[in-house]
Amino acid sequence: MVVLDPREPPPSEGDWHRRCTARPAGVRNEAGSTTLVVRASDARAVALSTAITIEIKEDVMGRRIGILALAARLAAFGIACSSFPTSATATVSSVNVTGSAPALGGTVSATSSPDTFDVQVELQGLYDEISQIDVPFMTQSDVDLFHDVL
Amino acid sequence: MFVDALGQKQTWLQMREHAMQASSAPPLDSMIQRIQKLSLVPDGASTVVNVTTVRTIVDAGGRYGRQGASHTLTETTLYRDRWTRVSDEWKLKSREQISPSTVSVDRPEWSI
Repeated sequence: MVVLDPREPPPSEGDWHRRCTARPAGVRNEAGSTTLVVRASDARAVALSTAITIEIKEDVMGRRIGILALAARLAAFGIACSSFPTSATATVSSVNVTGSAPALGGTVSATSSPDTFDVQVELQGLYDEISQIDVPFMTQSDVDLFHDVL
Repeated sequence: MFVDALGQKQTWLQMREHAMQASSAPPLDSMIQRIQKLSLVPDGASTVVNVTTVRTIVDAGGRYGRQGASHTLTETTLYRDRWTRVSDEWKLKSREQISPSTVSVDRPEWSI
């Protein structure tokens, strides 16, 4: 499992940098920004694979989002963030590649269309949000929040 | 609508009842739902999701070893979900179980 560096303190405000490594599975270039799509199955697999470093600097939309939301977004890329602090918020988001380009060679392929990509990120965030709800404290309104009678 | 691995259908109201009953069950240690595949459809999206839950149990009957020992049970199931967009929000329309659940005992956390 890929674990974000737990040695850094929880972010308070301003830029926030946190590092994690994972195997690259795809990369998407758009308007000068590069989004790295990674797949990581477990720590051993990552250790054996060509690792690259990615840095989380700022939100694509410039929004302040919660840590859990960020974790959800990263989870959409296959990055598990098991050591995330759960109470702080920070200005975070898009994932910029800072590793060496050759590390990507031969293993990177184009990903799905932007629409599919965005929907997957959005729905993965919902799945993670649902999973984060503490089931013993689930109320009827919590159950109804993510469902509809159709 | 929910369709289980045997193809039996349950309505949302039945599923809702199950969800509420789950609130009185022993709590999960963790749940991970990861999209394996996503397709856009005219009224929303279809996803194949791998759901992994982990719970700790006390093995009073000695089913997994010494009686009274604690074990972690990791259950993995594959579902096909249908999502629809309603008033700019995603709503889960149906869930179909497309693989039998597999349960492993004392599976290392890193392998999830």
